Order: sequence, then C-alpha cells, then structure tokens
Amino acid sequence: MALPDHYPFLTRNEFDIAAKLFIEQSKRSSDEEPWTWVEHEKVKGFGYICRKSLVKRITPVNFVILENDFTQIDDEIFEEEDLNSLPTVPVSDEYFTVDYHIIYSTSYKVPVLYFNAYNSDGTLLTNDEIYSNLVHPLKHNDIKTAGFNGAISQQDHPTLLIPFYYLHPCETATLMTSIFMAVLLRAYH
Amino acid sequence: MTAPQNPITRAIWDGTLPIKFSLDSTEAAALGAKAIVEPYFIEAPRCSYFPLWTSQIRKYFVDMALNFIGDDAEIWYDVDGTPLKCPPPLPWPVTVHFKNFPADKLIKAQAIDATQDFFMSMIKEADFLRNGSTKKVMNLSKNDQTQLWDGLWSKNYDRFWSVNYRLVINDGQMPKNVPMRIYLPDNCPVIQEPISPVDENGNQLTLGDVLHQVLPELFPSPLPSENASASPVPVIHGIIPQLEIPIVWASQNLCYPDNFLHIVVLLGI
Repeated sequence: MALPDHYPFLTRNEFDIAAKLFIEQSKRSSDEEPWTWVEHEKVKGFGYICRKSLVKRITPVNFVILENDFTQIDDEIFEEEDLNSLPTVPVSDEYFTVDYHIIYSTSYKVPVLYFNAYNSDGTLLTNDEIYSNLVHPLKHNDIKTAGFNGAISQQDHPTLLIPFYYLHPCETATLMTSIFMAVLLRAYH
Repeated sequence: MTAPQNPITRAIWDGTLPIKFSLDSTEAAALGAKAIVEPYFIEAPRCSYFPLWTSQIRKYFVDMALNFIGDDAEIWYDVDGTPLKCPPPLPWPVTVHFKNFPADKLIKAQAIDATQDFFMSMIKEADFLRNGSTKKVMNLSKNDQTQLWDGLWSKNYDRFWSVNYRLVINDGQMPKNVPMRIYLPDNCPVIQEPISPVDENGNQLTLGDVLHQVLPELFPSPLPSENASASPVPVIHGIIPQLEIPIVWASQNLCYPDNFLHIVVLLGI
C-alpha cells in the first residue's frame, strides 16, 4: 500500500491527488450527491471538494409512549385522537441543506471538514441547531468541551473567503494514523 | 513572570491608527436619528480586534440619540461597501451598521466570545507551525490562557507579554516554520505556506528571501528592487520593513498578538 512520504501529513499536491481519487470512489459507491472538485476562480493551489446533502430536521421533542393510548410530548399528555391535531412541521422545513467542504490546511497539513447548514429559505442554522441536528447526542459533551471552546468553530473558508463552520483539525493526524493502523491490522488477519 | 523590556514589541503594542466611523446613512432615519450624526473618531490600537471596540462605538452613537437596543453582535462595519472582517486592521474610513447583519459574509460574533475563540485558534495554529504540535499552548495553565486574552482586550502590555513571551521566543528553539500570512489585493485567498526560517545549510532567511520564495513573480529577487516606487512592497503594522531583516527576528518582534506576522503586499505605492 503506497502512502504519502510523511503520512498522516500531506503536501498540497498529495491532498489534491487523494481528493480526486476520493471523488472517483464516491461516484462508484454512493447513491448520495457525488463530491465535486472546485478550484479558486483565479488562483491555483486552493482547490477543495464539496457536496450538498439534504438532512432531515430533528425536532427537539421528548416523546414517550404511555399506557392506555396516551403519549407524552415534552410536558403535555395527549390522547391518541388528539395527536392528529398537533401542529406539524411544514414539509418545506422538514429538511435543511448542508454544504460539506473538505479543504486542505497548509498549517496542519491534513484535510479539514468545513460546513454550512441552511434552512429552505436560505437562513443559516443556529449553533444550537447544528449541534442538535448534526452531532450525535452521545458526542455533544465531548465536542463542546474539546479544546478551548469546542471542536466546532467558525472561520473564513480559505478559498471562498466567507464564514464556514469547521471541525478543529488538531486531532485529525492522530485519527488518520489510527485508521491506517486498523486497516493494516485487518489486512494481516 | 514580568514581560520583557523590548522597545520594539512595546512600540508595536502601543501603535494606533486614526479611524473615522460613520453611521450608514440609509440606517440613520430608521434608527431615529433626527439631525446629521457626526462620525466617531478614535485612535484605534493596531493590536486589537474590531469587536473589542464595538461597545464604545455603540455608546457614542446611542448617546447621539440613536435608537438601538439590539445585541452588540448585530453591529458590523464596512469599508467601501465590503463588510470588514476581523484581521488585520488598516487605516480606512469605516461605515458602522446596526441593521441587516450579513451572516453569509461575516462571522456573527457572539461578539466577544467568537473573537476570543478565533484568537486562541490562531495562537494554537502558530504553536503548531513552530513546533509541530500544540502542546506548548495546551499546556499553559488555565490562568495563563485567560491572561493572554485578558491582557489583549484590556490593553495591558505586561499582562499579555508575560505569557506571550514564552510562546514567541519558543524556549530559544529555532521554529520549524514561521507563522505568517500574506495578503494580496483583489480578494486573493490569504497566502499561508509553511515557511522554514533557515535554508538547507542552516543559514537564517531574510524577509526578502521568504517573499521571493513564496511570491517569485512579485519579488523576483530577495533584495530590494531598483525601481522602488513601481515594485510591490510588504507592509507590516503600517510600515515598510527592510527586506534584509531576518524572518525569525520579524516573527518575534513584529508579530500581532495572535503570534502571526500579517504581511500586506501593496502592488506599487
């Protein structure tokens, strides 16, 4: 298995090659939107990959089925026939769009996940909505307490120069090494 | 630990530039301004971030009878119609806005919190560039980490530099890479390449060497060009430094509080 010389650290060129290979692979395997490669309109060397995903909104409801055909939602208790009269989330709000970008960090020399999430009317999801919809509940605490102020922050996208959320890359190299070790171990069994 | 008595870092810290803040004229009427609202002039510290002055700017305009009761985070600035991002501050007349925050173009600070988050991310990144890990910064005591930010927003040189000194001097070790960012005009992406401070023979590189290495078309030689007025020049903290200065010296003495050298390249003066 050929690896970049300083794996898990990549050069810009190695990132470009790996990203394009990843795109080819994703086209073959997934039924989701394919990833695409994008360059800066004028300057070379700032390419990245991106794709849009539609994500079903998780309404923050505490839903408990009680005995005798009653259901408790948050603090209220409803009878079976009353459930139909509950206000439902309008269909256009059931989904929101996430733009996922994978860019190359020249400082940390690893890929970094950047993303933005939009409602159907184009407004951005709030910080809390991002956590409740995109971060697994069991991981909330870990992510919010990582580093100085949580593992998810905002920064200007290095190519587009507009604000994006991103996942702090300081642990990425360690993760890439452990994935590679796991793959190696599997190959020898 | 007391801060080092370094006249250069002190001068950089104390450096200010005059900025004129004018209220956006289209918002004036909607915000209840009756007469013309005079602009607000301040000597803004160079080593700072806009969100740190927002509350004093807001107070000025509210005292001038502006009816604004929103959050500080709603306030934003533009220069010639372009929303103003965080670093680096440069001397322009600036327009202040209290409405219609452009969340697609600017990060909406939970004002101070997001700025502090951004600042600490930069400090971590600088450490990683210097040492290949963020251990040094992450191992600072909670007290020291807080002191860095406190020193910055309260404009206290001693508080800030007594902690920052350890990061910037790096225990006397030559850094692996110099934390720096280069800004070109016309919405060019920010240039941030890993820059080694020494060449293959261990000789220290100058600022000119580095610019020639990163931008060879703009700086065809590490030495100053003969036709000074037509050539691109680097600007740091509003001054044009000599190309002969060693890059490590520049990094330790001319860096911003976020530990980065932010260099603006002007294409001919």
